[in-house]
Amino acid sequence: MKANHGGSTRLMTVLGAALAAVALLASARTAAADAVVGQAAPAFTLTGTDGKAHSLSEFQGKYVVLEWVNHDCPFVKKHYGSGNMQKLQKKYTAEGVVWLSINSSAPGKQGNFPPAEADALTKEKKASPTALLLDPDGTVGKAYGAKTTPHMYVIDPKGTLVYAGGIDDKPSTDAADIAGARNHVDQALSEALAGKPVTVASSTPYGCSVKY
Amino acid sequence: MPATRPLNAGPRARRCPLAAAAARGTIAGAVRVLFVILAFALFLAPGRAPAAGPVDAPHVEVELVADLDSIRPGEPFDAGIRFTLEKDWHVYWSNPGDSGLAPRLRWTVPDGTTVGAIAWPHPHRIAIGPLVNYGYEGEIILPVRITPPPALRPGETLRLAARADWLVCKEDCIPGEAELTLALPVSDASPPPRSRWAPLFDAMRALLPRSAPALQVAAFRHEERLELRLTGVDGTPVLAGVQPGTLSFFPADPDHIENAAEQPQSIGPDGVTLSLEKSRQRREPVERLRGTLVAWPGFAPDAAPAIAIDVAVRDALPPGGTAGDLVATTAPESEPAAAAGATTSLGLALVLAALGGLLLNFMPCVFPVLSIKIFDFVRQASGEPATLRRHGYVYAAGVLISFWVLAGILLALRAGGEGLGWGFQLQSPAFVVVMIFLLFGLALSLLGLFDVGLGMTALAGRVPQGDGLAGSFATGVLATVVATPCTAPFMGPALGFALTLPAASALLVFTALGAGMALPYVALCLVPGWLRLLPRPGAWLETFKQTMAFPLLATAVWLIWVLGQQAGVDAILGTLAGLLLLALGLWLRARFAAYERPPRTRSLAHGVALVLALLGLATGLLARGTSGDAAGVANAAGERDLYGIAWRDYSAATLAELRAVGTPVFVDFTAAWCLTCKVNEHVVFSSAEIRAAFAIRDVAMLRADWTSRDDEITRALASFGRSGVPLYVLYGGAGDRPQVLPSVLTRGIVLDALAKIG
Repeated sequence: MKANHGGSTRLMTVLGAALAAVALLASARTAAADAVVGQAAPAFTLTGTDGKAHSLSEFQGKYVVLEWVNHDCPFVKKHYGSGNMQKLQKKYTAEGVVWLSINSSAPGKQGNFPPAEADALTKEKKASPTALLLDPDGTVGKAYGAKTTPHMYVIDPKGTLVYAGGIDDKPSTDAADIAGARNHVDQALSEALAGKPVTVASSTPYGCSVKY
Repeated sequence: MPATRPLNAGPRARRCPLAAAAARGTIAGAVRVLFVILAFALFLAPGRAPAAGPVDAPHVEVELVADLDSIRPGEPFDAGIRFTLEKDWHVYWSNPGDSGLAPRLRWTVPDGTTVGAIAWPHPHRIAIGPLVNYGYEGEIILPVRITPPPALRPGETLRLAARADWLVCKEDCIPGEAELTLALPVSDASPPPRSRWAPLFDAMRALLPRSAPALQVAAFRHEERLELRLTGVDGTPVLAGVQPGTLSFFPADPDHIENAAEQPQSIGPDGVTLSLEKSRQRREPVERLRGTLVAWPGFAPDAAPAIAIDVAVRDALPPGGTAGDLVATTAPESEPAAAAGATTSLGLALVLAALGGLLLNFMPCVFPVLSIKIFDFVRQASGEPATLRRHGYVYAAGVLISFWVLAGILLALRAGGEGLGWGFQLQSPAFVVVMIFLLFGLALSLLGLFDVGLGMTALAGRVPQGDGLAGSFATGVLATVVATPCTAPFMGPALGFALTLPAASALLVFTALGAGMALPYVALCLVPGWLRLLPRPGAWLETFKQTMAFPLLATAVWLIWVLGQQAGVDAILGTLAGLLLLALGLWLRARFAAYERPPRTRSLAHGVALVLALLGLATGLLARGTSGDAAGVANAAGERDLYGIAWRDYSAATLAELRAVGTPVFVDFTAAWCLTCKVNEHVVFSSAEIRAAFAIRDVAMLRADWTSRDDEITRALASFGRSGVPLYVLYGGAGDRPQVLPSVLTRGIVLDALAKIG
């Protein structure tokens, strides 16, 4: 009985070690390059609702904002319903910043719309991105490690990521929280445009999951 | 709830009029409806708890619930929010993971009510595509500790209201919010009746992370990974009861690790290692890992399904180093456990215990008994040396056997899993009542009210005719028994250490204590020449004997105060009334059972005295029963003690919360029956300088009151290698190791400790 017990313990140990090795390999494989602040932002080319292909490289020399969007998500509704997102888009596109809204909802999932409907929504919300890009297979979203809608990224003229994270520091669906929140994107852009280092270069994003 | 909220799908309240009123937007309306319901409920079904009822929201039913159907004034209880989710829908943990949002409660409660933070049961991993969330499915309660005002009266109602908001998700998410109310009748029912939700509360409490004193946790930094390593303290098997591969770490901080990454675990002979992937978007090193570690079915020794982790992350092991060099411990309070064990050796404990036993003879509980005994002895000093020696041995045997019996009971109960420490006997109000009667009776005897028959006096001093060996034995037993209230406060730390030893060594320490206590008497018997050094007996001896009644009465006064802390003012009244009956009985007996009275009068007086004494004791014991346990009222949270310090009640959760935000914390483990504690508290906190030193550093003051039994506090004591009070622990800034202060405090010690935390 005793020997048997010892044997099963050893078996467990071997099994556990094997499991661990497999899991390590698996995690090493998934540890693909996420977008990391301070490093080059991953390159991409996506088709916009305008039918044209847009590449990150074509905006070299300009500040670029990436905004993950899903208009059926309550967190996105918070920032569009209150006009908070549109205000930011207007303010910075007027200063020459490129604003790319990206929709990574997979076909059949929440927030996935054909280009014409997506454009109609943009119009209805009075949003003014430079372009709305469609990423139905989620390649770009996963390359950037986009987790939530909204999830915000700021890229400097040299193509370096200078901000990644949430739109502000008040995780909620309550639009009343916007007034008291610290808007990380607004702050990062105004600091970067003034030639200053970005004080809060990353934060925890909050929102709905991206519907990959 | 403003109707203009820009949310697409707020919860609709349709089930009950109260919730409907809440949804219409007026709390006043809700309260009015509540009143009507309450009136109806009281009218139709007296004694049934009125409830505000559940609120139906999309995909989830939400309700404010309580563990109890009626509450007692000033006594903390658990309330909470219940979520009953549709299949496949979930709500979130405090850290929701890659997306989502934790539920939030904003309370409105009557003045004097304190509301704790949500105690988060451990969550599950919920995978959404490539992302992972931490949350709950099915039916859950998020418990919150509520302390109602002590001024409530039975028949009144405690009305709680909370505005809840939450996010409920399957893959898509819907935010919800509701105004929830709960009315709880106040009664003096003891124990308070538990509600229909009690089983669910119990189930949720079982999922709360606990501290794990038997485990040491260390964390190491690698390039892109963090390694969490568990080892057992003193050879405790880490994985006893844990199935390989079932460990799962839930981080308290949202941006430290990759939520969706696998957590590979490797198992070795001396522990288990969990590998976590550092958040790819985090550039700064992770300094501290905080969170909840879950395993199935549970961790040793008590099969906790979840333990709290809060550990500094160190650089990866240098080659050739051993884990032991760098090991830090799990729950912060468990760190010094090993150190305490290492610094107190068995030999030292034996010496200290013997010295302590010797000192016990001069305690107000023992000194009167023993000194009377010795002077009776002086009277017989002419006796045979051999007889004297025999008396000495028998007395020592009485002391030792009594200590062994007490220690045996304690060790047996602990082995049976009871959370007891030395002084446990004083945690029982019944024991305290009996001690009060014993001390009071002895005092009356010393004052001369009775000194014949029934044994009391024989026990206390008069060696009966003849050999009287039984009397010597009984004196030993009596001395030990009356010493117990004095041992607990003075011997606490040493005996606490003894209890961490194997049973044989523990009994050795108790033996040393008893030997120390018996030593003076035995020495007098063995060396009869020493008797001559004592003053000659005379009339002064009677005066001395009567004077000795007053230390006993003082001890009784102190125990009455202890009883009041434990069982409230009714218990004091009952006990004092009982003492009155006892005194009456003894007086009648002294007056009417004297030798010159006729035999019938004498036997009647004996009988009446006995009945009155028993009646008195019963009154004392039963009053305790009706009053129940009122512990904590005296130290109710938020109230200031006599030194002007606002103490908060200790709980592991409160401590963890304060530590999480880096607040310095001072924890005072104390008990009303612990004299050392009271002396320490007076020495330290009567000083304005010390109070200022605490205030300047914003130190949160937590009081762990062990006057009555409390398993959580017993566990916390055990994590420091103690099984008794006093214990003082000072936590500095985030990540600092706690400082354990000595059991006897001076102002200098406290100021030095405070200076170290800056």
